[in-house]
Amino acid sequence: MINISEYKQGLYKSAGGLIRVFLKEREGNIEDIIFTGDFFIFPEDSLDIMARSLKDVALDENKILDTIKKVYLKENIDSPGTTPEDFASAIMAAAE
Amino acid sequence: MRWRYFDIGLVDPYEAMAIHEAMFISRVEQKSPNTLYLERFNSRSVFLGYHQCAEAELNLDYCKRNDIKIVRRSTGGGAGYMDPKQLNYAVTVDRREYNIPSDFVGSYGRIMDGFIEALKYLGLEAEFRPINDLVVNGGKISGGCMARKGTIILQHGSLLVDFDLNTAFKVLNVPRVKYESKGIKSAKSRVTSINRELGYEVNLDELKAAIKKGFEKSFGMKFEDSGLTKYEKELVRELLPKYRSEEFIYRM
Repeated sequence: MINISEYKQGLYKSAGGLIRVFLKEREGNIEDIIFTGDFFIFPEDSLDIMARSLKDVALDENKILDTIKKVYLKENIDSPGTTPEDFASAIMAAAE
Repeated sequence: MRWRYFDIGLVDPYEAMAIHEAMFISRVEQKSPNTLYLERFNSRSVFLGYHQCAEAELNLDYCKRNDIKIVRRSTGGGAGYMDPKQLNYAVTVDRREYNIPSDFVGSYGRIMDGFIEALKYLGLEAEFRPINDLVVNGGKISGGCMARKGTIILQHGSLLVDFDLNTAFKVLNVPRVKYESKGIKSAKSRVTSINRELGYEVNLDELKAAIKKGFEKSFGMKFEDSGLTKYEKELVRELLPKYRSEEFIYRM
């Protein structure tokens, strides 16, 4: 189980569901990130791949969005009602 | 075209999750027919979507104090509170056989057609509200989720027959952001149930008969009553420890 007290939390509601992001940052970069929520994403394990790809990425919305979009293309992600922009917004909500 | 119809009656919620996955795997491997499966949980339970954080979404203390089982699905979507009164379903089907759309919403809606037909027999007008709700008079009466592999779909969810909203709201932490955007004051007003809409307690056998008829009409097939295959039973035994394990239930 996630020890949620160790993370900053960000909530963002997309058309496809609620994204709840747990974020650890270090010197302006993403140290660790966990995406949770009630959205749908196929394939299911692409969420972990997305989280791993974001490690050490700067907490800059454009850089984050670029990274997420690349994972979407590579993994052929289908997330009805939830876009890469929504995931990026959830991360920025956690960083605030 | 024949589909299997399997009503297991009351079932342990962890075993239920293993049964759904077993039927899905076996359908993917072309070892089982298209299936409509019905069940009710034999205990009060709350089940989490695959991606949900247990501690954030649930009131874990309340669940433990009140002996409400915590179950995690292998499919996405949101948490739901279930007691033995609600009727759960699982459908496994090959999309190609019924020209079911390949996208999530399209395929979900096509499966919902069976329930929309079923509820007509009870005099209820239901409609599909993307992404994954069935609504009657604006209130959600069914929610569910899906696993997909190739052209095979497992869609499973619940029909709210007589929903205990008060307990549901004690079990679930429903964040304000979840319902504020829909412009409705309270999340409670968004949920309804078959009994509430009918104004009387539905006879469960009548409801099940309506569901069977609704699916037969919607998909132009006939059901054959049957149980799990030997292979599916083996899979259930293999899968059950995962669903019962703390590691899986509290994976996040």
